[in-house]
Amino acid sequence: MSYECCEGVRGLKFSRGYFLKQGGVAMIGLSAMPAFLQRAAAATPMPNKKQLVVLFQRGAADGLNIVMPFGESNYYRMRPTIAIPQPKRGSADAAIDLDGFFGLHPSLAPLEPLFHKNQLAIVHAAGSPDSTRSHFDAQDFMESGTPGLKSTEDGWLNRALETIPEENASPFRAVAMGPNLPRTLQGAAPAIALPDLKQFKVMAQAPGTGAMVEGGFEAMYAQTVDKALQGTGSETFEAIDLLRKADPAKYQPENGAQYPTSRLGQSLQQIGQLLKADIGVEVLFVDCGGWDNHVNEGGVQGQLSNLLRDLGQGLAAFHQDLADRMQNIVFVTMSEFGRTARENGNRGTDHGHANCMFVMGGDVRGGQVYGKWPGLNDHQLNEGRDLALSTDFRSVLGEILTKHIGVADLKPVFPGFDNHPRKFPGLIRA
Amino acid sequence: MESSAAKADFTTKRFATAEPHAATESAPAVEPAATMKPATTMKSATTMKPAATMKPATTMKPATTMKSATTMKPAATMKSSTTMKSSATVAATLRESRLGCAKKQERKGCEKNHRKDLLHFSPSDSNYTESSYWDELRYWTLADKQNSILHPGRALVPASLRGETRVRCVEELFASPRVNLNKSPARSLPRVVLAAERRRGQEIAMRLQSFRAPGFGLRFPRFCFRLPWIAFQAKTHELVIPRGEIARGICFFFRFSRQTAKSFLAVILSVACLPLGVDFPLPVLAATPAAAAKEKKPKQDPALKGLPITELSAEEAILHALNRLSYGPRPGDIERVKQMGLAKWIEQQLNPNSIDDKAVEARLQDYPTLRMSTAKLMEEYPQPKPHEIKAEKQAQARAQQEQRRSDAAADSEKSSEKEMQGSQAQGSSPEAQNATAAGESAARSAADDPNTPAPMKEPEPAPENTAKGARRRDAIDGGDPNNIPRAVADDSRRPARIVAELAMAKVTRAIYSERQLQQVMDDFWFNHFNVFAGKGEDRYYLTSYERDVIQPRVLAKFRDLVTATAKSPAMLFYLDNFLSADPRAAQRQAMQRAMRQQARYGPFGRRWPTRPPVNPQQGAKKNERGLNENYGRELMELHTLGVDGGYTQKDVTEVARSLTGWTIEKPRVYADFKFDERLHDPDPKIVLGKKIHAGGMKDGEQVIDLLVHHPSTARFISTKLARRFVSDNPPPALVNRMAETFQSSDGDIRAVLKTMIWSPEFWSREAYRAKIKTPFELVVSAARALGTDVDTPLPLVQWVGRIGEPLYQCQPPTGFLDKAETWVNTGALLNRLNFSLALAGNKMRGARSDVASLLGVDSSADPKAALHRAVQVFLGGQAAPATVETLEKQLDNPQILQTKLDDPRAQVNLGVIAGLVLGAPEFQRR
Repeated sequence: MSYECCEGVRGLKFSRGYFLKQGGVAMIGLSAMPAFLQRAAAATPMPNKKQLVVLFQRGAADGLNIVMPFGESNYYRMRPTIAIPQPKRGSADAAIDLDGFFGLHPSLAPLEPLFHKNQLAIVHAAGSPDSTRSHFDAQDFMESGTPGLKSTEDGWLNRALETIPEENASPFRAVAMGPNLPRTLQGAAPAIALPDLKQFKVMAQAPGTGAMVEGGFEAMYAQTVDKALQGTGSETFEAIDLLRKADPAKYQPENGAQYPTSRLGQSLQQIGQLLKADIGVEVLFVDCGGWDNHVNEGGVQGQLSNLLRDLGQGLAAFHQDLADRMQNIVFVTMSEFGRTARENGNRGTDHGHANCMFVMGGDVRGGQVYGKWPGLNDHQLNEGRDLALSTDFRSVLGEILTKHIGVADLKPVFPGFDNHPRKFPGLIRA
Repeated sequence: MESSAAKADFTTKRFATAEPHAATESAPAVEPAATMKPATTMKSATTMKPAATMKPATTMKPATTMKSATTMKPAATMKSSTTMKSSATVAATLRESRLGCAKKQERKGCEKNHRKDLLHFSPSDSNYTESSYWDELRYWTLADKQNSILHPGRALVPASLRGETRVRCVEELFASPRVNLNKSPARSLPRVVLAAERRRGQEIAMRLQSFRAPGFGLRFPRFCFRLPWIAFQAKTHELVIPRGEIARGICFFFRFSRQTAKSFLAVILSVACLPLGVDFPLPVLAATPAAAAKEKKPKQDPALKGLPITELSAEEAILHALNRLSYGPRPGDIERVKQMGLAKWIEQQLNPNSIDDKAVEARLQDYPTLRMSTAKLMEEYPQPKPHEIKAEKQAQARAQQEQRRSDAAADSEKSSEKEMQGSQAQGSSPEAQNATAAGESAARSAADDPNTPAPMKEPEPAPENTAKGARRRDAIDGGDPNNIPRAVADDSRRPARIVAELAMAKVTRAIYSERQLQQVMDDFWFNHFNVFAGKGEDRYYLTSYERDVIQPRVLAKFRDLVTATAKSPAMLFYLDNFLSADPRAAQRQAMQRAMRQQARYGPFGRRWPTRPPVNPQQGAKKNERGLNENYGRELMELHTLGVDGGYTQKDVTEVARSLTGWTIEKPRVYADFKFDERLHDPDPKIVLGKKIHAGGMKDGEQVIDLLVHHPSTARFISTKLARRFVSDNPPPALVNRMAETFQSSDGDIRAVLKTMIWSPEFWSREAYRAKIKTPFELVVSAARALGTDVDTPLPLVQWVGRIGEPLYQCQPPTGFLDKAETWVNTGALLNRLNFSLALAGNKMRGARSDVASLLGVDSSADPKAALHRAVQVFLGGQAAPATVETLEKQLDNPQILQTKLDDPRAQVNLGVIAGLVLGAPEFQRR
């Protein structure tokens, strides 16, 4: 399996870490590691290392207009002004037919080929079973992975990493794009928040002192007797070295991929960059906001459409940029809850329940919309107002963690949830 | 078969140590209902032979304890006579008497099968009915009734016992033939209970290994040192201990215990203390004998007089105190404290009102929201309308584009001349870089924004429009410190400004207030009773929450804090209690309404039966009101008992039921606490085995009373305080002592702190620099160390967020965790270093530090001399030699020497040196 493949790499990494720590004392004053050694260690590709990217759509995205059940007549009845018209050949202002029942929002057109190439799967009527309609609580529950339990201190993704402890793990094993570590990645396993790759370095404030200051800190932390700080210190400087080598300033996307210029697009580009730098990244988290469309949500055009265009282009560019590497990557999206099935008086939608999730990657059995469809007739709605839930988000994430990342035991990741492999939606190739 | 002697001894010991809890529990709040319980025990007790020999006496609690602990004739308290005696005391004494009796017999050997005697019921006895079984169980639980969960299906062992002791206890209980009820009518139950208890016990044992009390081999000396404590307690409870009792107890002790020299000394000391007892400051009494003895060593520096400091030098001790009880030393602080005397300084800090704090008050004038009422805040800083947001966004998008363009230019410039040193342009290059992020961090705060990690507008106010994708970074949660978002700018009228002012005021107070301990405690309690500013209206409530709820009570009684937070709109909103209602309330109200209408219009009156709601969505929403357990759970788990405090899910529900009706009046206008009788569940509840049925708002108050007086609470709070002030894993002995003070002083926080500070563990070598500074502590202590003049604290606030502790933005109710692991990680460490460089290098907006005059070195000085001065000034001279050596080598770097030739920039060099020292591992700890 993939883990055996990595052994050699780990050995090498170990020797480098060992050198860093042991050699550090002797090398005080030199202040810099020999460049050839860094290159040797860092440039070694990590074949078949599986990676996971999680995208959180904050604000509750409207799953019923992202992947719409155009086969449901009630859909059009409940959303007179914002529904997406049924697919029509040659029309760019209608749903994109996926399987004769579900359609994709026209702004997500860049994702259509991925779906048909079986690289993209959709899980509908998925989400958190907790009935809260508070953004705060629902995001909290989804990120902690324990719906209904507020006192959980760490996030599901961090706990997942904890179940696969890795000696000499890369400092970039878990990365969140943004200034703060999101709840999803908080916990005992080390994780870093990167607001911007270019800023991840020691910023000497006086001209001409850069090398001296960085060297000073590095040496100070290398020889301190303070074990906790010494470990973190050497990791930090290792990370700075790694990133400097990857040279984020000069990065150009490959294969003609064009990321949108939005914050999401730029984050996705940086994620691609990190993954390609082969610096031991395993899980990445990125979020994007703006989905809370209570007023003037819009149909084919409008606020939601703009957000989706950004998302669609971003994901497609990511797929194009990463190309062959997508074999080892799974990209999953989630949002705290869906929105009401009926549009409200302001041509928007209010807080609802179930939603849709996108799962993209080489390991994905794409080209399908997964999940039991609960229906949109009045009596089928959750609390008489929103799409009912048929797939727990934890079984989607559980399957990805088990089959893709290789988490053996899901119990600590999603405590109290029966996540038997039999109940997986089956969207990842074994 | 195990020796039953050991067992009896074990149980006695167990209860002996549990005793002080029972003592304080003898509060008048005990229900009359409880008094019937002793009757049942009494019944069983009388079946024991020794009971007949008991003689009535007039002692009260402390004396009895003394006696039972010394295995004297224990029955003395069978007849309660003192006024203070409550049912709990009776229960406790009964228990003690029984155990004592058993032990006595065992000693005398007058009964061979004493175990049988302990078990006055045997399952085969025909008299043994199911009700006797329950009596048996009650015996085990009742004894410590308030501490245990009486319901027999759950826990049979007092909740105050934890960890392995608990497991052993449970096992003992079930191993004894007495409860081997295989033949009894209630056969099936105990097995289930056993399995559950054992599992639970082991779980607790595993989780609480660090709390395991040390083996008390020396029980007698320990007991003796409790004597003065008892005297103190007696005084506080206004009891009179008959001298005769004490004398007899001591004589007995002398005759029968195997004295050691130590215990002898202890007794002498105790006797000496008794008459004076109460005049002694408590902490001195609480200190262990070793410390007491060492304290008398003549060596001690006069500045440390009166404190149990043995391992640290005077400088170290003062630095330690300044680091723990304040936010670190300012230039000259160490000398000042030395001159004043450390004990005096601590006393002052413990009585903050005695300290003049005008200077900081003047600085706080800059933040008008601090003095506004919630109503005023809501009026003056309204939620922006959707179209306003849109217009602002468009303007921002334009600005952003421009910035990006200029940024791209700057980038290309930089990449071409990347390592160019010494040019004028370079000086500002980091800022140019920051501008990149600045552009992106288009400024609107999370508080306004449903799309940041913490959006939420609970009951959905004005719907918000949000346009395309650009996510705004919160102004104060770690965005770019060199860019001030518009929403929090000085003239902003956005709600985000309120939270920003709170955060700025917090930093200002921490840096400049003379009442440092008060500020530290403010931070501690706010974090303990955490409320997240990003949750809906809480951004309006927080100002009043901190000003009116937390700050006035940081050194008061714990009960006041819990009650005040429970009634604060901020907490009620944050943990949803304002929504919590008796699920039957709606029904009840409908019925009442119907009855009213019927009375008014007759049985066929209009609109009756009521029409179904027009909008089914609305109908659904209205009916959503029901019991919300959120606050009930966190009140026990996070605020009082602690997660292993011995409560069950049922207790959570019952507490929540007791607190129904505690809600907010006009949450969008002025938000006051309101008790709404209509939402309250009027039925009786049982919390931790105690019946709550005071009615109305008193239900909730009674629950709070029960919780704050629970021994688990004393332990939990003491542990948390010790973790904050001493070390991540505080010594159990210290925690025990603090918990005892907590109980005996009725949760007086100041008294608990005193016990802690006057303990040798506080001043031990292990505790010295044992704590990693939190980001807030780091930022504030650096500003203090540099003597920085902070004009605009916002960049500092942003740095605190960047390093990982966004102020007022901690989402989960747990607050930030106070352990090193929380704060030490790669990204955070890099930010710590960059912060030190920026602050010392005077590259931070609105913060100026004069490093040169602080170090007393002028620009032409040798960098190494400056370095040594910096180590002396910032680290109190307490740096590892290797650190200094390393830095010295770095200073040989030709880059430094080169710039040194340039006189005008010598100042910058000093900034770099100061930055390096502030970034040193030694400065990351306190």
